[in-house]
Order: sequence, then C-alpha cells, then structure tokens
Amino acid sequence: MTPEQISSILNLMVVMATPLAFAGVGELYAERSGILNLGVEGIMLMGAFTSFYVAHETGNLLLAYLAGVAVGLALGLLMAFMSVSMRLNQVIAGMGIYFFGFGLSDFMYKTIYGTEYASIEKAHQIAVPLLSKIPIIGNAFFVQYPSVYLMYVLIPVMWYLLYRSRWGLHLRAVGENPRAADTLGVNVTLIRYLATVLGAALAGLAGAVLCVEITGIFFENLTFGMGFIAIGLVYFGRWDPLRMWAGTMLFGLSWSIAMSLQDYFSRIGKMHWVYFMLMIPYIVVLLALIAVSRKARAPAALSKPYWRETSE
Amino acid sequence: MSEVAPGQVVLEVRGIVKRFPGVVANDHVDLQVRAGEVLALLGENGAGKTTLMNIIYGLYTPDEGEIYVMGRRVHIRGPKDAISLGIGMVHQHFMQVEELTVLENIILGLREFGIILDTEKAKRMLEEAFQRYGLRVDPDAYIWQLSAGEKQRVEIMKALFRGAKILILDEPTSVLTPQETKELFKTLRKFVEGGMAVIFITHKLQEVMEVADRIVVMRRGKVVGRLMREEATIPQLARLMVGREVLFRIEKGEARPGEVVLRVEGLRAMSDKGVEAVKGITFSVRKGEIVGVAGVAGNGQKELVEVLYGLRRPTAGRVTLFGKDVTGEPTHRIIKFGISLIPEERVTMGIVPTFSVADNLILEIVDREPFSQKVFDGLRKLSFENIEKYAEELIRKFDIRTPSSKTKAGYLSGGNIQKLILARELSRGAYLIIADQPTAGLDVGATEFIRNLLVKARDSGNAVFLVSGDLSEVLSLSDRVMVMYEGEITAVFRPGELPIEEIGLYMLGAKKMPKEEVERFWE
Amino acid sequence: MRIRLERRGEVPLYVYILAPTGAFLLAFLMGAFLMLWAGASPIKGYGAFLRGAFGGLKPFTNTLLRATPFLLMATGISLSNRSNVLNIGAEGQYIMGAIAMTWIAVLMQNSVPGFIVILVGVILAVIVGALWAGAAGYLKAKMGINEVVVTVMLNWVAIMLLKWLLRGPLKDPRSQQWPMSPPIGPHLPYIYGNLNLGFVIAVLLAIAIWYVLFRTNIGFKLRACGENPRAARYAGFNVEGMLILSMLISGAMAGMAGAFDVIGTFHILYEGIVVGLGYTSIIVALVGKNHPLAVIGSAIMFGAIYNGVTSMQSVTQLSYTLSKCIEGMIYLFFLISEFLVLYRIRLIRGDAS
Repeated sequence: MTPEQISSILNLMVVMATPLAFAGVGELYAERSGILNLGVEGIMLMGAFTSFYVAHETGNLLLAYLAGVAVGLALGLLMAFMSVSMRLNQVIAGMGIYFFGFGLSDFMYKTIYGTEYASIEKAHQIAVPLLSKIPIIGNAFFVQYPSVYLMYVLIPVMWYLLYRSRWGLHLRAVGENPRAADTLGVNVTLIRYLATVLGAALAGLAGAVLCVEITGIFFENLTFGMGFIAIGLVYFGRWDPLRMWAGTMLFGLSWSIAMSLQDYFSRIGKMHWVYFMLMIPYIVVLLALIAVSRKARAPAALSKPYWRETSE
Repeated sequence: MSEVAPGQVVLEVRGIVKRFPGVVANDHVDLQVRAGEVLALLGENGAGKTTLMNIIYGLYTPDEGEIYVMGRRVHIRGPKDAISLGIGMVHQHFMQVEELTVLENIILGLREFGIILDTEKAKRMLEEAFQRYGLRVDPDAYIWQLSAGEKQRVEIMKALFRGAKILILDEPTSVLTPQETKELFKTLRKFVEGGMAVIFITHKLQEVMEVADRIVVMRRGKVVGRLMREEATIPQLARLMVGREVLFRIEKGEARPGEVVLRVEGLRAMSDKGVEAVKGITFSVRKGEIVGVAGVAGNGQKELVEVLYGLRRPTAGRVTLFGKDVTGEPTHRIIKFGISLIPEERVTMGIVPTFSVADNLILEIVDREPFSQKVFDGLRKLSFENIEKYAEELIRKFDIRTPSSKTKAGYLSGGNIQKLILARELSRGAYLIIADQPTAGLDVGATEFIRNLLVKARDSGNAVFLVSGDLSEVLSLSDRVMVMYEGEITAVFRPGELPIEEIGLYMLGAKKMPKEEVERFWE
Repeated sequence: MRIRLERRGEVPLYVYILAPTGAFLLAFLMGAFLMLWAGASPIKGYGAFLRGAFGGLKPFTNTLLRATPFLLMATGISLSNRSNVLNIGAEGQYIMGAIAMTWIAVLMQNSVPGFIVILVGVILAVIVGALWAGAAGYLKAKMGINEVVVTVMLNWVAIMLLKWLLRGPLKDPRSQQWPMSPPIGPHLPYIYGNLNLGFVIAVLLAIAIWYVLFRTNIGFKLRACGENPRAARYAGFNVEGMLILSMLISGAMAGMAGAFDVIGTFHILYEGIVVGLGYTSIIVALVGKNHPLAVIGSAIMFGAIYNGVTSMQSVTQLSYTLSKCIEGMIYLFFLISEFLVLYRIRLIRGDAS
C-alpha cells in the first residue's frame, strides 16, 4: 500500500467518524443524565433532510448545518417531554421518534423532489496551513471538512465539562441518583431536558454533516443505521467521551477500508462484493460491544423516570 | 439566618394535609420546633412522619397548610428553598451518589466553587467544616467504599456544610451499631448546645427517652400526643403510638432442637463488586430452632443468603441439607429440596406486583399438582380453579387483607405483601425457612404477627435462619445468634449470655471470638 | 402555576376506548394536513384509502394478505416484549427468512416437488430467523448488551447480505440490470384471490401463542420473568433462558413471515421487500398491547393502512411513504393516549395555600 492510499483511507475514516462522534457524544450526555434516547437515527434522518432542503433552496451551507441543529432541537424537546415530563417508557418513546423521523423525512423528500435527481454542492475539505504538510497524517487529519475541525475541539471540551465542571457533576449525579441530586437542590428535570435536547441537537448536526459533507444527496435511510451505531458506541466507550470517540474511529476505519476496496472489486468485475464488505463495519461494532460487555456499567438511573413524589 | 435565642420557635407548621391515592398521610398536622432542642417525632412505620418532613424539606407539595420559619410564612417549592432557609435533612435511605466521591457528594448543587470546579478550595473548606463539627470522612473516598456510619456522617456533613440550623434526621439509628448510636447522640447534643434545632424521627421508644427534649407522637397521619421527656414513660408512649396496649414479649417457649437440617462449612463467596464478601464461615441450624444473624448491613449477610438459596455460586465450602450436599445447586432445585426464603426487599424480590394475589401465592409451585396438569414434557396447563381455591384458603389462614384473590399484589399494603410472602413460603412444605429482614418497615401489628408466625414455624419443627439489622429482633426471636462482620463470624452466643455493649463491639469488629470457639459452638 | 400529574385510581371503561380511538383519529387528521401540504385533497385521498382497504371482497382479501407478515412478526414481538426484551430486528430476521426460502427454492425447485421445497424452505427460514434473533437474545441475557443496538446491527448485516446475494450468488442470470432472484415456482395454496394459506397459519399461531402465554406454566413463567426479573429469579425461574426462548420464537415467526412473503406474495426475491415491515410490526404489537388476540385485529388494521395508502398513491400521486408518517404518528399519539389513561393532569395555582 502506498502512503497516499493509507492517507486517503485514514482521511475517509475521520470523515465517517465525524457524524458518529457528534451523535455519540450527544447520546452520551443524554444517557449520563439518565435518558436513553433511541430516536437518534430518526433525528439524524430529519437533520439530514432538513439540511439538504435548506442547502438545495438557499445554497448556503452554514444555514444548512444550522437547520439540522434546529430540527434536532425540536425533536429533542419532544423526546425530553415524553421521557422526562410524561415519564413514558424511554425505549418505546425513542422508537416513536425514530419512526416519526424516518417516515416524515422520506415523505417530505419524495413529495418535494419526487423521483427527480436532486443534489447539492457539497462542502469542501479545507487544508490547515503547516499541519497539512505532515506526511500521511497531514493529508488524513488536516485536509478535512469544517465539521471535522469542530469535532476535534468539541469532544475534548465535552469530556472536560463532564468531569471537571459543575454542570458535568450535576449531570453525572442526576444519571446515577436523581433523588440525591434533587435533595440538594439540583433541578433534575432541567438537567435532563438540557442533556436530551443538546444530545438531539448534536444528532441533528450529525445528520446535516452526512448530507452536506458526505453524500450531497438525500435518500431513504441514508444514515445506514448510524444513529443506532452511535448508541452502541456509547456503550462501547463505557459512557466516557474519549473512549467513545475511539470507537467512532474504529467504525470509521472499518467502513473506510470496505469502501476503498470498491475500486479493487470494480477492477476485477465483481462489484457485488462491495456489499459483502459493507457487512464488516456492523459486525465490527457487534464484536466491539461483546469485547467490552464485562466491564461496562451503565449510569444507575439510565432509562428510569424520576418521580419526586411517591407514596411510601 | 441570624443568631437565635435558645427556646425561640424556629420552625412551625400549621394544618398540614397531604393525601396520596387511598390514604391521608398527614391530616391537619401542627408542629413547633425550638432552637436548642431535640424534638423526637415518634410514630409507627406509615404514621406520616417522613411525609411531613419531606413536605418541610420541599420534596412533597402539601395539599393544605402553612409553614413558618423564624415566624415568617414561607413557600418551600423544593429542597433548594429549604436549604436556603437553613433546613437540612438526613434521609433514612442515604441520598448519595455511590459512584461519586465524598467531596463531590457534599459540594453537589453548590454554586460557590465556580463553573469549572475549584476542588482545592472545596477541599479546604470541607476540612475546616470537619474540624468545626468534629466529624471526619476521607473526602476523596468513593461513597461505595464507606461503611454505613461513615455514610451517615457524609449525610450530616452535607446539611451542615450548607449552614443548616434546623436538622432533620429520619430513622438515623437503623443502620448503626449500639456504639455508633451513642456517638451520634453525643454529636446531636453538641449541635443543640450550639443553638441548632434537631428533629429526630424514630419508632424506637428507648432512643426517644435517651435523646429527646420534647416528644411529638403521630398515628395514622395525626398528632396524638405532645409531651416533655420528663413526663413521658415508655408504656405511655407505646400506647399513644400504636393506639392500644402493646405486649413487648413474643409468646415463645423453650426451643426443642432436633436433628441438624442445614450445615454450612467453610463457605466463601464474592460480592457483585468482585471482593470476597463471605470469608469461610461455618454454622448449622437444627430442626425446631431459630438461628439469628446480627450485624450491620453489608457485612456479607446478603451474599450468604443468596448462596444458601442458590442465587450466587460459592467459591469454596460446602452446604448440606439433612447431610445431602446441595452446594451450588440452582434455585429451582433448592426450592424442591425444601428451603423457603422471605427475601429482603419484599416488593422487588418477593412478588410480581402486576400478577394477582393468587398467582403470587403459587409462584414457585406453579409446576406442581393440582395447580397445573401435564400436557406434554415440561408444558403444563394451568388450573385456575385449583389455584383460586388454594389462594382463598391461604388468604383466610394468614389474614391477608385483599379485596379478592384476583387483585394485583402490588396494590396491597407492605404488611399484607409480607403476609402473602410468608403464606407462600410457610405453606409449601419447606424444612428450612430463611427470613431476611422479615419485619423491616412494617407497623407494630404486622411485626408482631410475622414474628409469631416465625416462632410458630419453629415450634412445628422447622429450622429457621433469621437475618436482621434490628438487633432487638434477633435477640428476642433467636435461640442461637451469630454476629457477622466483614464476611466472618466474630461471635456466637445464646441471647442473654452477652450484654448489648459487648455485642456491639463484635458487630464493629472491635472484638472477635477465636475461630475454634465459634466452630465448637455449632457441634 | 404548576402542573402536577396524578395517577388515576379506577379508570373508567370509556377512557380505555376513547383514548386509542382518539390517537388514531388524530394521526389521520395530521395525515390530512400532510396531504394538504403536499397539494392533494384529503377527502379524495381518504376516499381512495377506504376503497383500497375495505371496498369489496377483493381489496379486503388483499388487506388480509398484507396483514399476514404483520401478524406473524407482531405476535413474535409481543411474545418477546412480554419477557421484557425488545426485538427491533424483525426486519433483519424477515430478510434472512426470505433469503433462506429463496435459496432453497433456487436450489431445489427444478428437481423436487413444490410442497417439499416449501416445507424445507420454511423450516430453514424459521431456523435462520430464530438464530438471527436468538443471537441478540443470548448477548442480552448473558452479557447484558442492549438488544436494540444488536438487532439493528444485525438488520444491516442482513440488508447488505441481501444486496450482495441478489447481485451475486442468487442473481437471476436472465436479468441484466435489476438485482433480483430467479422466479420462484412453488407457492402456498390460495384461499381466495391472492389470499393464501399463510394468513390462516398466522392466525392459528397467534391463537396458539396466546394459549401458551396465558394458559400454561411456561407462559406464566415467561410473563413473571418479564414483569419482575428479580422476583422471578428468586422463584427459581430461568430468566435468561426465558429471554432467549422468547427471542428464538420471535425470530422464528419473523423468518416465517419472510418465507411466506416470498412464496405467497412476491414469488421472487428483490431489494424492494425491505420496506420496514419489521419496524411497522413493532407498532402493530404496541397497538395490540402485546396481546396475541388483539394483535390479530391490529395487524389487519395496519394491513388496511398499507393497502389504503397504496391505492391513495395512485389517485393522489402521493408517495407511499405517507403510510410511514401516519404509522409514526399513530405510535406517538398512542403512547400519549396510554399516558392519559393512567394519569390525570392537574394545574395547581401558586403553592398549597
């Protein structure tokens, strides 16, 4: 393998890891506060469609990213309302968000664009001066899309806030023992709302990233299960942002390698093997989950609604 | 809160009413607390004491009534308001995040350490507070590493660190040894001498007489008595609390122990956290006797019970039933061999709340005739008629108060759920009955009923193995007692042989009988 | 002002009927708004919808045909829900069943009688479906890995496997462009029109599973394990075993649904069979309250929605994915209605004074 090939495989790895990292760290915050949001996939799909629509209509990519975030916010609010205020079963509520996002994104796309082929001008990869000149690494990590650079900053910051800030302490306490936090005046409802909405906004952004940077088009199910993978990677990372981040790279790498083999298969005239290779990323995630299963310990209050008043 | 004169009313509630579906937990309750006094709030489980305190602390919203702090009408919408009014509360079940450190638990919710937490400053201030109040816990230890006594100190520290002047303690002694209880009472005395007000919630009469200045007795959501400690007597308090004369003795004759039913030798087991929780213990239980385990919760009792009932695999040792080796057998076989269990947490371990009373009564014996008939292999058809008949009989015999046998078990009161479990476990033909905290959280009537059932089970030839955090329960029911500390048996004796203080030393691990003496005791 | 939730004591019967009915009506009302937004007349649309779903014997038998996979999969999902494990993977198990059936047919249909092909194919489909779900059940029971994530991953593995097979080993050599299998000859016996024996088998299986769940010791234990696993463990029940068993059955039913659709409905395997039937079945089970007899009715209703929207599509030119939106909304409103059945919302002014 030439250095150029290695570099481009790594480049694609980072690209594929980015939406997962956004969705994953968002889900991680929600789960750390005790909310299991299984609707990530649906939120990503809605984020992807909305950003596609805005980019297609306005040509403004920044607006497209923001539209993804906005739709994520709205769906996050719905999820938070159902799971925090109404105390519904979170698994069922999350599936509801998924179905809703899945159906609505597809319906709106088909209604607006029908069967015509619609595409947008994708965002470009930007080279960082100096850093991009490093052999192999430079091309892989520093000739990248805008959201990748955001990821480089966001994940460490989210990690730092989780473990070192007052909010992070409150978040962790609420996810472990909401009653204890409540008795010290920590607003359990507010924290869970904020964490769920923030997480969903990041999932919306992840959807936008998929559309604006990776595909440039919208189609049914374009997330390829990434929302659920993100949930799996939170588990893989044992609820730690940095370990989760490593997981996204693992998935990104397996996906990137599978994609790179596309050229090879098309050269030997066996294109269908690409699909066979595309099973690998999902199997990698499954194996990763099995590998950490003995060590993983979920936040104690995960997916348990909190009632302040219960009769003894 | 500014300086207050001793004797000044710092907290007053008037006409508090709180209703839960089906019960009035507080029925027009009035209460006054003064600076410099310990007010004991006495009442049975379910009398409404905790509900009242949760209202004062802002956890519950009252349906009616007013609260005054320092003579000023206040609206407490949540614990935050209560804290800022100088109210602190130590809950019966500690409100701590196990996975966080002592320091993190104490500063949780405080704003003065910045958005990015200044842990150095927090630690400094905490050390100062430790010095001032004469309490100490390692600030960097995780809560799950602490003993019950240490956790309680953290809990008290949480309130004091927030400047509490009115301290509420809900059943604070239930997890403590006699020595720790004495220590706590000394600390509380120091607090009130410094001008604080303490509300002490309990159902233990002895403690009231020891620590209180004033006593308020509650029964069924109402205040039924207010007296000074000097004018109170224990029988009088008991009558007020229960509403009738109470016999403090259980009708229990001499034990007539027979052959050995259960024998445990050198048993070892791990806890969920992967540390050894049961460290090579040996004992036996005979037909017609009650063997009790005393000890502070968390010293291996839970793991021991789980091993005996086939819910946890031992790492070493032997368990025999009538001489037959049953070590490591799974639960369904243990049940068949004739061991019954009254589990520690009755609702989460003892019943399926969404199943009917009848279904819960045959839970473990659904595979037996006449409750089901074989269709083929392991598949059996349920016979609702026979299940019903059996259930009706047990409901009558054990006085389970339920609208019908079809009522969902989760709707019953705690006492009736416990009766249901006892009915099931005592009626399925077992030789050994393991009772884990059988009366925790029950009122006096249900407690008496259940204790007498256990004695009756003994007298009809069963072996009974009793585990209880309530030392007086162990001493009054058992024929032989063992004390567990950190997974080992530190003492064995018959009730009456040792003074309470000495038992306390064994429970704390401060004293230990030689191993040979312990093993000889079971010969 | 504060909002407080209170658990209702006795729930009056009319609330039980009104709440879910309201959920359906609201979902269809929202559907009407979506149609208006898309520039179609809701009256015309729903007219076509009703004709397509119920307008005569033939549309109705088509509705029953569409209901068959829903019924099979939702019955299985209800069973696994009862043991407290959520099988999101019916979609993948359905695909695996369809693949197994097709593979057997391609292999054997030219050499052995049709009914043997069907028998062998369906049995293999059931086994493969059961294993596909059982793997997730095993990982959940023995390692505590979230079954939702595992089953979704397995769905994608199945989808990629299908895409690969249809372009490779299972490709019809005569078809140049479209990835599809060769036509499959053997078919299930017909009852009326397109409606085949599969529907009858699905109904019988639903009744059988209802019987096992509510009338036998195994169902008793399975429900106990789902309702309170801790107490079930203390009662000596094999909680992990029940969980795995329920997933095996759930997957078997989904695998059977895939096989039945291949030999009963499509007579070919192509990528278009992946339209989220497995996901819809989760909604079918929810609406049927995890009760196999109620699921029969619920499955027929969703079969009607599918057929209705298909006929609506031809009249209004709306995308068939409208049905997905309506389903999603039925699901959400149904959740909310369940909540309103259990709780009363009260507004409290100020504090308690």
